[in-house]
Amino acid sequence: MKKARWLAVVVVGLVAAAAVATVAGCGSSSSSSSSSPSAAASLTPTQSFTKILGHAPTGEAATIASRGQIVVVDDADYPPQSYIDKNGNLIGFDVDTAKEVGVVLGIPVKIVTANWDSIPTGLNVDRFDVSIGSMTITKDREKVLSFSAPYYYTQAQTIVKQGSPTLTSLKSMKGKAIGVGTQTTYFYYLTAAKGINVKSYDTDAHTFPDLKNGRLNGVVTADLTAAQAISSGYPFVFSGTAFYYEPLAFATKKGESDWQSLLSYAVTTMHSNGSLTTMAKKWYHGFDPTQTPKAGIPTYDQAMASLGK
Amino acid sequence: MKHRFVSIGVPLLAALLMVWALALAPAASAAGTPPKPVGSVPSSVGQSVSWGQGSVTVLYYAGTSPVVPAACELSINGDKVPVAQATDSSYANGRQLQFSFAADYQPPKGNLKLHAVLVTKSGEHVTYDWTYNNPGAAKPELLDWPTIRQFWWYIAKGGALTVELTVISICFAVVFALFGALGRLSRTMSFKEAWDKYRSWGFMALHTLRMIPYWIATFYTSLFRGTPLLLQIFVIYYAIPAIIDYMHARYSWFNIPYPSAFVSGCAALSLNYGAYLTEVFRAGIQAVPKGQTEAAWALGLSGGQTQRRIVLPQAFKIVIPAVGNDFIALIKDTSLVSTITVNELLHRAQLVGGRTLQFLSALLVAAAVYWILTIFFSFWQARLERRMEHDRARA
Repeated sequence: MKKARWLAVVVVGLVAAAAVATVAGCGSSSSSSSSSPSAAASLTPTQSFTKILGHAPTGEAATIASRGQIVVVDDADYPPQSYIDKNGNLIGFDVDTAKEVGVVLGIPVKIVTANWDSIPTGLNVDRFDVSIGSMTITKDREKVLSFSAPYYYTQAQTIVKQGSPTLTSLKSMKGKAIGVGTQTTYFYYLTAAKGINVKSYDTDAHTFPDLKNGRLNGVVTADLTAAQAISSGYPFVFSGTAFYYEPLAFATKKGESDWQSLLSYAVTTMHSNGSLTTMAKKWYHGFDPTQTPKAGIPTYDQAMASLGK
Repeated sequence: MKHRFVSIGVPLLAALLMVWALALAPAASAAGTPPKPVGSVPSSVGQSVSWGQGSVTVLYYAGTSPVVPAACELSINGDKVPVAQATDSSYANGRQLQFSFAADYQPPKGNLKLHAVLVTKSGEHVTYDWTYNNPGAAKPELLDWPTIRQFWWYIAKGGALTVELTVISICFAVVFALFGALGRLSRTMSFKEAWDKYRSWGFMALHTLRMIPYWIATFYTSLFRGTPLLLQIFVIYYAIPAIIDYMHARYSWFNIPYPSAFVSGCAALSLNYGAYLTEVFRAGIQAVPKGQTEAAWALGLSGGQTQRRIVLPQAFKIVIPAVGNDFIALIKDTSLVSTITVNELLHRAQLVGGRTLQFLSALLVAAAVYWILTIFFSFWQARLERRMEHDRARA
């Protein structure tokens, strides 16, 4: 008799603990940074969107406005575009850009982090509203995602360890172990060029320890990311000229025309009022990668076409 | 009169033209602008985290004439630095010239006066001077203590979320497992046995109905033990919003918010561990000697009473070590939830690794926290087990 009651108490206790803990857990699980807009503070997000669009927002734009928050996704490990500071806050050029988008559109921004390869899926199932995370516009990605106008440009740069043989062309990479971030354009490009031992990692930054160890002969990543690795102490050198340049843009799911025109408006505004340039100069040693690169280097799509893809 | 005007005017005009041509000439012959340095690595300003001491980079905007890397020079405190290789490459919308030191060269400590000379193809010499306070090459250390000191608390705070995930998931898992085990044990006989015994279609229909809990429980354990936990986490996190969207599109009243990453993670963990614990509970219940059930029947207890008062309490004691074991395993499996944006222990360690590029230090901090957590919970599990032993002895 006594034991049966005891068992019942245990079961009820477990269920109650679970219920309480779930409520507590939901309350404390939002652990991301948000910024409130300083400009257009007097307008509600819906009013602000309506003013920019010239009509009431529809579709996802309406959902975002009524929610009162944009959910922006970033890779959490991509210095200096998005990474954490001493206190664990997300910082970087992409993070600054995302916050500025919130200011331009007059709506708070919540930044969440996700694995790079899961971002397209997350965008398509509405986990995130937009990726402000240095995503290259490519023909293949345009089949599943929509892109804004480019907000800055990077180049596909090879780096090698100091003192090891340089890798200047795809031919010189034949049979060599080359590290790339998975599902990056570098990954697609090197895989398309046959004969290279392509090793893919969660994110570009995770290739660097292995390049230093000697497990990799080279790494292909964005020039800005490579330069950051060098300036934070890795013994690497740029090797050869860039393969191609990449126009990087905000990505959303397809078919949300209002939301896309709002983002295009944000990109255009940030280009024309110089805020993108200011932010870029802060992160890239005074350089301004938001300018369209000079002619001479092919785009990613052209480089892929030259490989017959 | 007219003639004199022409004889003065033509030379005057010619002289003016010459002056004009001379004024333009330098611009035309010097062929544009020289390179313009804007920054450097190492530098006392900017984003440098530390200096690897193996190379110095000068960042500059390209001039009209390209820089010849081999001709460029670098000196530190007035001494020319032996450069193994100078590399000139494009960077952002400018260029960078990286001087790699010879292998045996070690830059001096303290305040350095760095002086770089960029030489272009057309023979221009552009100098760039800056200072940098060199803390000296760090001794080769396995662990980066500054990183650990700076970030250990940030990483350890993720442990709270790990514990939260573990406790919530194990609670739900135990509930799932209890029903799962009862379902798994609800089958008294197979169809063939039932037919051989009763040869009645009415009984077969009843028997089919009675089999439903067994089928559900079997399907559940088979599905969740037969697919990887990581896959379950991804499917629950990414597929449920799609299902909700689909339902909302078909039936407009169906409008529920998406489960957060935390809830999705808890759901995946508790369903998966529930499936494993189902088998544990089933084994536990079956391990209660048959004599106990028979004795209960002999005393006139009903089937339900026998289960609740005789079998389950004894089974509970038997499964405690196994549940404790799964609890410890679950603490570590919560790390898989880091893949769906939950900012728990491992996720934080990876972020710190990405920032400081000190993966070993960051991951070891996380390992230490996991270990401490498991030691703590193993201790309590051992206490509980001892308590149960005591209870049995008393009985």
